[in-house]
Amino acid sequence: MTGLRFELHRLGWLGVALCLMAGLMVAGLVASHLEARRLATVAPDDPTAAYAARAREIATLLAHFPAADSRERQVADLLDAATASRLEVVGGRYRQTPLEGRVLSRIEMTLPVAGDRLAVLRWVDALAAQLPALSLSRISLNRAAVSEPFSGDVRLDLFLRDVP
Amino acid sequence: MSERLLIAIDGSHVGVLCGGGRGTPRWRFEPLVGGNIDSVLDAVATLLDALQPGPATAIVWLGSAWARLLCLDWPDSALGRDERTALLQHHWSAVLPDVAAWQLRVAERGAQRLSAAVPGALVDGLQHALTQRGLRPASLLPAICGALAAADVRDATALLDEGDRATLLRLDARGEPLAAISRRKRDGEEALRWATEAGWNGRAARLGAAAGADLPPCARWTAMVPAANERFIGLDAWASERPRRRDWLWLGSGAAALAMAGAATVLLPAATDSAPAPRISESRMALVAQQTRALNGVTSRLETPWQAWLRDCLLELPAESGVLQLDIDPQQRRIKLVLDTADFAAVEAVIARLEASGHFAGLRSTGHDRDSAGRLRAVVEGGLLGVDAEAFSTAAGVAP
Repeated sequence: MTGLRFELHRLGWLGVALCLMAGLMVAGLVASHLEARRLATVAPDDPTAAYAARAREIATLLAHFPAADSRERQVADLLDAATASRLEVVGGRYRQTPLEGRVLSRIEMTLPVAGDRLAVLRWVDALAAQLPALSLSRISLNRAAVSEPFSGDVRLDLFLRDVP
Repeated sequence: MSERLLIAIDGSHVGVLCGGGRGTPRWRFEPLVGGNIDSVLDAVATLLDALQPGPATAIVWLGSAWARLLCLDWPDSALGRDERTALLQHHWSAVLPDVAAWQLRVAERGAQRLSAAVPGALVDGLQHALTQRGLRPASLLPAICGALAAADVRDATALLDEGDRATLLRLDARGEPLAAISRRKRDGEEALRWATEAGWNGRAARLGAAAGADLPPCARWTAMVPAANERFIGLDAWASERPRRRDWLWLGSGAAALAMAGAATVLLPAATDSAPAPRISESRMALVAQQTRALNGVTSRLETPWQAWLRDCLLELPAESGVLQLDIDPQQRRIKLVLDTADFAAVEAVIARLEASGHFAGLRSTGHDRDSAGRLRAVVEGGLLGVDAEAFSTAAGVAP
């Protein structure tokens, strides 16, 4: 203890202050480097804040889409809604293609339908309520006279989530 | 800033000068009764109590009655501290009857050959008296050393006349003491004459003011206190605790370390910034961009008001008109209707109704014919509103 006091006296306040400042700077430097290394270990890819925010947005949006494995149930719901609306769907063709980025798929459905205008409207309203991930691609309806039902093709696109 | 306090102790008096700096200097001295260490300490205590100095840095000058000088020839200047101490005690043991009772000081900087001996009890007593009164003991020197520090004498014999005593120091061209002698003057002996005749050097320099011979030596020493802080010549018992020459290496090292740490603190983050930082891979960034485009396209597609188009065309038309054909192509943003109406006025009414909904624009009839009953079958074509055509390409899918 006496030796330490003697050395401190010899160094003087200036020396002690210099040593303390140097020590603090070195300690700060080491701490910042350790933190940087820790961050690099935790996230080697160093996702930027913008990237992380965008990834969160994408995940949030995707959660609103039905999963790809629910494809058959979605189609069944669509046909059930047509039946309930008294719209006859006489057949259907379905083609699935992945979208850019491989997180969504598009089910392109071509449905020959037959029914009066109110059936068409009821069906459309039911689809809006039950299948929000559905969008119209094209519709062509014909009838010979106002008193007759429509017949024609409805092409719908159903979007499904490919990621869990 | 604390003031400075000079305690000067010669063979017959103790003097205290305080109030340096901006204050008015106060000077008092007391005769020594008994001539021993206790009487010195009593006199110092009496003077300090009388003057009541504030916080001050104390400098003590001891006359030759209390401090002995000896010049030594060190065989090797690179001797270690312990070796120098042992050698010092060896030399002084030939001069002092009881070396243990004296504090031996050897110059560790400045005058390397000069050593001094001061009674240990006197040093300890003075230190105690000072610290007890809140004063900081800063320097304790033989008076001739303090006077030398102020006079800067070189290549001569320096003389300090101390009343009945005189002290001589022979100095070389660098001011390094070569020999020291202190003795009681004979009756009526002129100290300067004695110094000149000592034969050490042809020139003798008297230290300190010659005037004021009626004052005790300690009072005259006050004129020799350096205006700036004293330049230690390395014999100072208290000052030895201060930075010495080799300590500047430590200070220099500390300053260099500080500068290097500072430079590293400044430069390293800059270097880190300029270096390629670990970033997300380009492929992952591209994938996120693709996913973003796809989601934007799909979202735009889902926001298309296609249910409203159908409702407008199949439900909201005037009662006298009906739709025979409906063809809506959002990708082309086109709509085609074949209307069953009575006349063109009804066609015009249908167009007005549809455009009023805000979902269609640019509707116009592009043809007509009549059925067997004579009713008008008008073809109306136009544009769809609320469609982002680009969304159909971004949400169109890619090859699996």
